[in-house]
Amino acid sequence: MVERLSRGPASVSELARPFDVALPTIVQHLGVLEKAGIVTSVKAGRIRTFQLAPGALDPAGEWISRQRLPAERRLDRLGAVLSRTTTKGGKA
Amino acid sequence: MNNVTERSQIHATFVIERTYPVPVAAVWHALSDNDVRDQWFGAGDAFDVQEKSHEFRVGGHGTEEGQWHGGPRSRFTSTYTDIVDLQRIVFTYDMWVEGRHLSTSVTTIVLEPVGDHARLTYTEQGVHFDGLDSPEGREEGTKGLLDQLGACLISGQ
Repeated sequence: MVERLSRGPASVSELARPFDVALPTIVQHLGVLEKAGIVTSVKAGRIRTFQLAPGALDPAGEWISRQRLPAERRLDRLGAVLSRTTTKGGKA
Repeated sequence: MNNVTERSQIHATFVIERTYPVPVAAVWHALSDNDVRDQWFGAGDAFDVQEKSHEFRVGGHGTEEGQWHGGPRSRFTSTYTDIVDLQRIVFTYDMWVEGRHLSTSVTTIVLEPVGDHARLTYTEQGVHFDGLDSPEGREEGTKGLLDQLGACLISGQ
């Protein structure tokens, strides 16, 4: 999706087209990219358009946050597994 | 793409901290036990695993090779270099996508008790080759991880 956005802004459905994945998954993924500062979005009417954040492809800053992302997701998933396996009737 | 590869190398270090509301021993179990590890470490449903192994001991190797749905083949191999029970895990790992070497990294995981919770500090130092890391490979990876995260959260309710 980032590669597609490097060619210019695109709507969610345009970005989803190459992937065999439900739209909410794409939206969720874009949300993470936006939080990480890789993309920005504007909403015009019912269409949300995404574009690469200025400087997003600079090697220094954004690049590292992109390296971090999979590791962060993985550690969050570890947290989900831990809370599932060790809290039984305890605090969530 | 298949022309002469332009060689480059970028070095990067990042640190991630998480505090989990469980004892250190529970986190250690999830990091070291193959069955629990499978629940969070793997790439998820969007990834067909063709080869997989994991041996938690100093010198032990891990591999994960397969294909993203509609995406590239990827291969992960790792070697544990240091394990201090309940405190520290160090491993090196390599990533390949479509047979091209993406990166070599050293990962250090440190666990510390914070009250009855566990703080995990994840430090990764790596060299990333030939500008291969930017496009779909990592994107697909992230997507798979997000799917898996969602599934985990839902089944944990």
